[in-house]
Amino acid sequence: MTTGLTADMTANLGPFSLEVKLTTGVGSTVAVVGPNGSGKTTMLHVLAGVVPLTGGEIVVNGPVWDRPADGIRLMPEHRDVALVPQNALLFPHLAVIDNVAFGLRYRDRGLSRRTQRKLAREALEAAGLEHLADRKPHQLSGGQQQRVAIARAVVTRPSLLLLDEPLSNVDAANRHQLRETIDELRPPGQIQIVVTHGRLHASTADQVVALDHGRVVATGSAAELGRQRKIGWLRDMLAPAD
Amino acid sequence: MSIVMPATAVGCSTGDGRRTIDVYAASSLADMMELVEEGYERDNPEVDLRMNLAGTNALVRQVNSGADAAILVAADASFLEDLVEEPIVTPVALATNELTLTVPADNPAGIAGPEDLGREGVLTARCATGVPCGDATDVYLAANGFAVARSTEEANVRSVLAKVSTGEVDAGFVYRTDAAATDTVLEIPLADAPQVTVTMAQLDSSEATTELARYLGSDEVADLFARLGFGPAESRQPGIPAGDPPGDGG
Amino acid sequence: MTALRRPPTVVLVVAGLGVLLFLIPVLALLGDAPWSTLFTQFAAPETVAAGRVSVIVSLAATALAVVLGVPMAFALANMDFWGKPIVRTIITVPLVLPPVVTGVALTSAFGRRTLFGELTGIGLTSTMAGAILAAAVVATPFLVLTVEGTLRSTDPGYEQLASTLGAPPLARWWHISLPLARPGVLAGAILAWARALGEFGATITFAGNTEGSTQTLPLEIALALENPDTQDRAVAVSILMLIVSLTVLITLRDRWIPRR
Repeated sequence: MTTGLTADMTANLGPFSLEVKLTTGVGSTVAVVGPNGSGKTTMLHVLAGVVPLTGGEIVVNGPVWDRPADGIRLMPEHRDVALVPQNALLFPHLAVIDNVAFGLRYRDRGLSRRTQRKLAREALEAAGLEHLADRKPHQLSGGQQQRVAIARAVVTRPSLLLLDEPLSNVDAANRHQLRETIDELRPPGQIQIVVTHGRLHASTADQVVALDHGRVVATGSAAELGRQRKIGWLRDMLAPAD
Repeated sequence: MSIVMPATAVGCSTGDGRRTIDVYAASSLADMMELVEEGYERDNPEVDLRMNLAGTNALVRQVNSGADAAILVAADASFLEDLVEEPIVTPVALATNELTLTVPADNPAGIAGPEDLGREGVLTARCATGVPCGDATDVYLAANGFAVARSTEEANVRSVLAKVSTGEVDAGFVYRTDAAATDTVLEIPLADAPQVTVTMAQLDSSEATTELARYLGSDEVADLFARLGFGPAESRQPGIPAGDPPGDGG
Repeated sequence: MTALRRPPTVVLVVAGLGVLLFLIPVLALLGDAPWSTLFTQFAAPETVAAGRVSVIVSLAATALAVVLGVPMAFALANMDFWGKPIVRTIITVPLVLPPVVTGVALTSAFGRRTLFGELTGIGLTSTMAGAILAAAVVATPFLVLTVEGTLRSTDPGYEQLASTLGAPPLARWWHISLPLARPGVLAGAILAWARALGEFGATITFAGNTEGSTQTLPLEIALALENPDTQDRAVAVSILMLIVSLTVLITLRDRWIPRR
């Protein structure tokens, strides 16, 4: 069985098309960078299964998730995946604790209702938000909502965790704790793909992929991409600060 | 150039210069009034009869709240007592009609007479109390001691007839003329059926209206009534309406 | 911001005229009311019976409208399928059709002389089920259109996200889509209930006017108007309906429909 993620993704969304190849090993972290509209979020949606491939394939740890040529497409609920969207998208009618417990109900059917609540509470604690467990999402600040969204995704311990600018709304003081939360709840072998604008996240990634207009324009370590001369915005983003 | 007239029913002229006369008539007279309109407009091409057909009680209500009717033809004389304004001349009895029982052509409930209407499960359509045919039905049922198991009360006799002819009810009380007008219903004649007296009230004194009133009282119209199954008015002279007004509760 | 959005005076004057159009008839009705005997009229046996029928029929029709209308709204709002414009047109037909015609159509479909009538033995004529069906048919379009409007303005991201958390279609619909549509469903249900309560034409044509089973308050009003002796009752019952519907609409509007 092949492990890790092998993706050769072609997707057409009206005028926009995505053509990205991505390969990464078990337990690795990939940072995805690029200007607005470069296709970063679309790529996460394709991996999650929300947007179908029109060509190519996605294979994760053995099973084929998407291969239009063979008519195979696993729906998102059948993929071992979780997504932290850019704008949190907490379910507005559910309390914070129920938001976090939502995925546990389906991803791990053996768990009792009680265990689900316990795991959700632990994840909230790790995110430093246990005191907000019974609030409704609209009573939280943007940063707090983002942290709940992260807890909701990581608590299901998926093989593939997709994070869309997870720290963008979070203030500097909490970023560190949140990164620790993500790591703490990371099961062995989990692949993380992080869309980011920040150097911090990119520099700790095993691999950085730079996208523009739906294509990969550069790939390598953060240090390598910070040294290259061809793409100005990429160098500015990743060059080590003096 | 049109002549400006006082705002009465005969005052309006239509676009082609014909004079409009508003005639309000009971809905049980629909077929009759069609013949009247045809005949009168043929003989008087300068006149346009505008018919307003509804339950007599509704017509009386409209007139009382200011509607400009030139002539009101009521299904029964008793209802003219409710007119707020006195008619110009004493109301004239034109014809009589009689309450009768009808069933759908295939008589699904096997109704043989009014005594069957009290049988469980039998659904009867009738006019509501307050409508001429409804008052007549009340009088008939009370006088003969018949019970009705289940009934639907309609606002006018035409809806009763429609429900019987489509078979949505097992039986319905209508006028004899309604029963005669269609072969989709069977008539079951009633002994001692209450009579109503079709009565005309003239509500404006213009020459054109008087002319029309004269026509309505003519032998020609009496023949039309007879042709549609109406009975003759006992007294066609201006005066007391013929028959006992059944609406008086007796 | 709010000051800048205040409509120009001309628009407000026309709006005021519009309000008068609604206000004057209500005031005139109140002016006609037989105030001294109002409560005696409310207690008339016909009114009590018709009130009971109205409550049952309007609530049952609303329930039917919700159960059938919500799925229709979802299909229309979130799906493309062949014949969708036709389906939408058919659903909205009762909005434009005179209710009497709807009643005639229902009679052709579910009357005694239909296959349905033969099978059930009686059809729905003159039964409370018939009155409920008539009210539901005219009320459901209001619910469908309201819910569909809410669904179109709902972010599809929530359902997508629920799927990435493992929720299968039915669970997504029940736990996410439906709760998110709640304000629209409630608003639609209130509109549908109001329409069902006032329903007249389809009911009298299809279900008839039988005291205690199909004679609702509007039918009682229409019937009471036919008789000079009961015209006061007609006005009194109209005022009763006015009070009941205003109370319900005002209470529910504030409690259930969040302001945007």
